[in-house]
Amino acid sequence: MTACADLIAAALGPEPYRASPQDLLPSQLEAVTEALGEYRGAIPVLDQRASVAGVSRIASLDDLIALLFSHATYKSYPAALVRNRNWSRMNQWVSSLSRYPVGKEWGRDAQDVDEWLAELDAAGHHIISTSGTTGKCSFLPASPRDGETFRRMTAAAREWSVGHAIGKRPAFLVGPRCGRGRFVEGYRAIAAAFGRAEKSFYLSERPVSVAEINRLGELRQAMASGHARPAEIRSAEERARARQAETRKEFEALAARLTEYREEPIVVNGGGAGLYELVSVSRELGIPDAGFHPATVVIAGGGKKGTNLPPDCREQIRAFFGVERLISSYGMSEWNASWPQCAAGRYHCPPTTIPLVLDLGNQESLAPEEDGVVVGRLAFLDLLVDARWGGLVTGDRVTGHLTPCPCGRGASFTISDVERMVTSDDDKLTCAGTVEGYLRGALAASAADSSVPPP
Amino acid sequence: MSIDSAVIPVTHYIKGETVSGGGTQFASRDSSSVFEAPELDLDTLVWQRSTPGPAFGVSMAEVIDLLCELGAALGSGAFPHLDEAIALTAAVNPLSRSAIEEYYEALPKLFRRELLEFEVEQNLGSTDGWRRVSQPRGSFSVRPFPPRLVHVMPGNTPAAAGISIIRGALTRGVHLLKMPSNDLFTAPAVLRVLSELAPGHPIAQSFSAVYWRGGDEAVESIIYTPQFFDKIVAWGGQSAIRNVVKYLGPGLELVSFDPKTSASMIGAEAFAGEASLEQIAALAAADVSNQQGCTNSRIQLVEGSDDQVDSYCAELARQLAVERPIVGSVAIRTPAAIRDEVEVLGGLPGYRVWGKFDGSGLVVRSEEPLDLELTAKTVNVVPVAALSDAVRWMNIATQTVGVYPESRKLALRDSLASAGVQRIVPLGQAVLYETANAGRPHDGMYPLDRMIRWVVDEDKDIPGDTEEVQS
Repeated sequence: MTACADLIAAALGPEPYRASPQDLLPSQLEAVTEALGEYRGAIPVLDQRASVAGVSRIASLDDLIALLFSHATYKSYPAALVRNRNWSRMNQWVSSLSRYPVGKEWGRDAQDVDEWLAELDAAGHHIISTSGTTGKCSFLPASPRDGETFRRMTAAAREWSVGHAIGKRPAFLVGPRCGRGRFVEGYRAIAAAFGRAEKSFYLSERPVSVAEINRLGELRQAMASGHARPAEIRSAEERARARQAETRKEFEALAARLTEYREEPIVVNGGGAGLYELVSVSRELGIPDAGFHPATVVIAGGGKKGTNLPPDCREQIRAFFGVERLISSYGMSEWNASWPQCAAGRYHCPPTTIPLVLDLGNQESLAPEEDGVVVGRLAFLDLLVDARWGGLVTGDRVTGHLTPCPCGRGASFTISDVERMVTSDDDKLTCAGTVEGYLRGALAASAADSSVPPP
Repeated sequence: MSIDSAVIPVTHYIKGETVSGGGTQFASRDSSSVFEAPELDLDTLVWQRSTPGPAFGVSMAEVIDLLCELGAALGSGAFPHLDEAIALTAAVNPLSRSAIEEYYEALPKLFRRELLEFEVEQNLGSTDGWRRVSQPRGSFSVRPFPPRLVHVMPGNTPAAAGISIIRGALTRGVHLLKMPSNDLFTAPAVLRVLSELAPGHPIAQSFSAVYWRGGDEAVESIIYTPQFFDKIVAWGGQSAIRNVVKYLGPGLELVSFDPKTSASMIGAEAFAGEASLEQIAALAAADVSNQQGCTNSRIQLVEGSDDQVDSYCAELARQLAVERPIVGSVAIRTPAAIRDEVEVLGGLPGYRVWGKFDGSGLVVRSEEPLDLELTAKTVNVVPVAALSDAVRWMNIATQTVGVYPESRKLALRDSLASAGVQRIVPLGQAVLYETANAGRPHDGMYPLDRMIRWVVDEDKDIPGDTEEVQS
C-alpha cells in the first residue's frame, strides 16, 4: 500500500496541511482503490455494495460516492437483538461490517449490552458506540490499531494547533474517565499525551453506559406497544433528575481542584458545553477569571449541538482561563484523525482523509463549487480507519474553501455549529408517521442526559 | 430535487385576489432550489370577528353548485395557470412530473355532486342552517356554524388542496391555508380558478393561500390566536404539529390529521388458490402506492409458512415495479438511510430482501417489524401464524389496514380498532385519491363535524316535574 504509506508519512510530518486537494487526489484515489481491494474481501456489505455499484477501481470522487456508508449502516442491527440478548446474532451483524470476524459465541453470557461490549473488547474487537437522539446507538467496529492511530493523531493535531510541544502537565478532563464513547477515548488520549500520571483529573468516575441509553429506547418501545406503565416513565424521569444532581456535584469538585493548580501551566480538555458548565460553576464558587498560568492550554471540543449555550460561550471560556485562543478541532467518532483548527479559525483535513462535500439536495453528487467555495453535506473516506470501511456520509453541513487558507496552508473548512443537518423538515409535510414519532416528544426531556457533557 | 439557480416565483391568493411579485426568498431545505414569495401583510390574512365571514349566509345548495362548476372548470383545460402550477410543483416536490399531472387530472373527481351531498349529509345532517330537535322538555335548534380556520397544508399530495377547499367551502367559514414548501402552488391555483369562475363570490373571498416558513414566530404568534381563528387544521408532519401546539388553549383548538403508517393483512386463503398470488400481490401493491400518503401500506402481515410468505414477497416485489396510476414504476429513489440498513439486514439470518434500491420496489421480510421509516415503495413483510397475532403490531399510528380476503375483516375489526386502527378496507382499496373518503370518518373523526362549531338555540322549556330532575 505505497500510496497510503506516503500519505501517512505526510500526515505525521511537520507540515501535513500544505498540499492542495487537487495535488493529493491522485495518491488518495490510488490508496483507496488499494484499500477497496483489500477490504471488500473481508467486509461482505462492502463487497455487495461495490458489486451492485459496479465499482472495482476508484478513478474519481464520484466512484467513491457510491461506496459510502452512513450512520444508518452502523445502526442497522435490529434493536430486538439487544433487547433479547441475542449476542450471537449481534456478533454476526458486527462481522458483516468488520474486517476482523467476531466469534459467534463471544459474550454469550453477557447480561446486558455493556457486558457484551466488554467481552468483545477483551477478545481484541473494540466497538465504538455513539448514542443517537433516538436512543439507538451506532456500533462501529474498531481494532486496537484504530485506538493507537486515534491516540497518536489526537495528540499530533493538538500540538500542531498549539504550535509547539505541550509536555506533561496537570490535566483536567471535563468528561468521564471510563466508558465506551470515542469522546472518552479522546479524554484519555489527551491525558496520556499531555497529563502527568498522578495529576490527571476527570470530571467523573461514573462509566457511561450503553445499557442506560438503550433503556430509554426500550421504554419508548414499551410505550409504543401500549405496555409501559406510568411508574416506569416516572422512574426514567427521576433517574434523569438524579443524574443531573450528581453531575452538578462533580463539576463543583473539579472546579475546586482547578484552584489548586493556578501557578503552573495546565491542560484543560472538554466539549463546549462541559467547559462552559465548568466555567459557570467556577464563577459561582468565586474563582476569578484569568487566574491561571499564561502557558495554560485549553482544548475545546466543537459543537453546541442541542444545547442552550449563549452565543459568546467560547469567548467566556477563553476569558475565564485567560488564554489567547482555545485549541479546537473538528472531530467525530467515525474517523481516526480529527481536523485541527488553525490560527485563522479554519479546520484542516489530514492528507489521509479524503473529504467530499455532497450536494445538499441529494447525496449522490458533489456540491457545485463557486469561486473556490463549496457548501454541502460532509462525507469522507479515512484511510487510517482499520477495522471497518472508512467511507461515510455524515450529518454535517460544511463549507469547503478550496483556495489557500489565510493561515498559509492549503484548503480549509468551516463548520457552523448551528448547521447540523436537520433530518425532519418541519416545513415539508409528509403523512408517514409512526407511534415512535408520536412519543419522541414525550420522552425528549428524559433523553437529554446531562451527565455526559457532549464532546 | 435540485434545479438550477433560477428563483421560483410563488403567487399568493388572498381573499379573491392573486398577489405575486417579489418579497422574501426562501431556500428549500433539502435542495438547492430557492423560491420567492410575496411579503406578507398580516392584516390581510385575518378576518375580524366583529364582522361575519363573507359566506356565512350562503346556502349549502349554492356552495355545492359552485363546487361542481369548479370541478368542471378544473377539468376543462381552459386555465393555463394550472399547467404552470404543475411544472412549478414538480420543481419542489419529490413526486415526478407525470404523477403530479395525474393528481391534477384527478382533481375534478373530488367535486362530484353526489360525493359532496353525501359528505354533507353524513357529517352534518341534511338540513341546511338551523335544525330543530324535539325532546320531551321542549325543543332546540342546532346549526353547524361556519368556523374560522387555519389549515396547515401537506405537500405529499396535490389532492389535499382540493379536499381542503371543498371542505372549507362546505363549512361556509373563512379559511387561511398555509402552504408547505413542497407544494406552494396547487391551492392558490385552484382558488384562482374559483375566483375567475365566480369573481367576487363570497366563497372566493373566504379563502387565502399563502406561504411562510413553518414555525416562524413573527407570523404565527400573531395569527394563531382565538382572536382571529377557532381551530387549526394541521396535516401530517411531527414538527408541523409541534409548531402549532404551543399556541393552543381555550378558544383555539387543533384538528389534526396525524402522520400514519398503514398496513395490510393477508390471510392463509391467499395460498389456497381462489385468487392467484399475482392478483393478491397486485392489490397489495396498489395499496402501497407511492408511500407518500397516510393510507399507503408500509407493513404487511402474512399468514403462511416460510415458503408461502417468501413466494408472496417475490410476487409483491414484481408487482411493485408495475406502473400504476399516480405511481409510475419508479416512485422516488430509495433513500440512503433505507438502503444502508437493508443492505446489512439482507446478510443476516431471519431476513430476506427482494427488489432493488432504485425505487422500483423493495420487499424486506423480517420476523418482527423493522424499526425503519419506510418510503420509496419499501415494504416490510412479517410472517404471522394467524392474523389475530398480527394485531399486536397495530397501534394508534396505524390508520388503514387492508385485509385479504374480505371475509376475514369482520372477525378482526374490533380488535384492530381497539389497537388504534381507524380504517379497515378490503385489500386493494386503501388509496383514496379519487373519492377523498367522502361521507365517512377519517383519522377517527368526521372532518366537517370537527371543523364547524355546533351552536344551539334553545326554545322555552315546557314546564314540568322539576323535582324529578333535581333528585
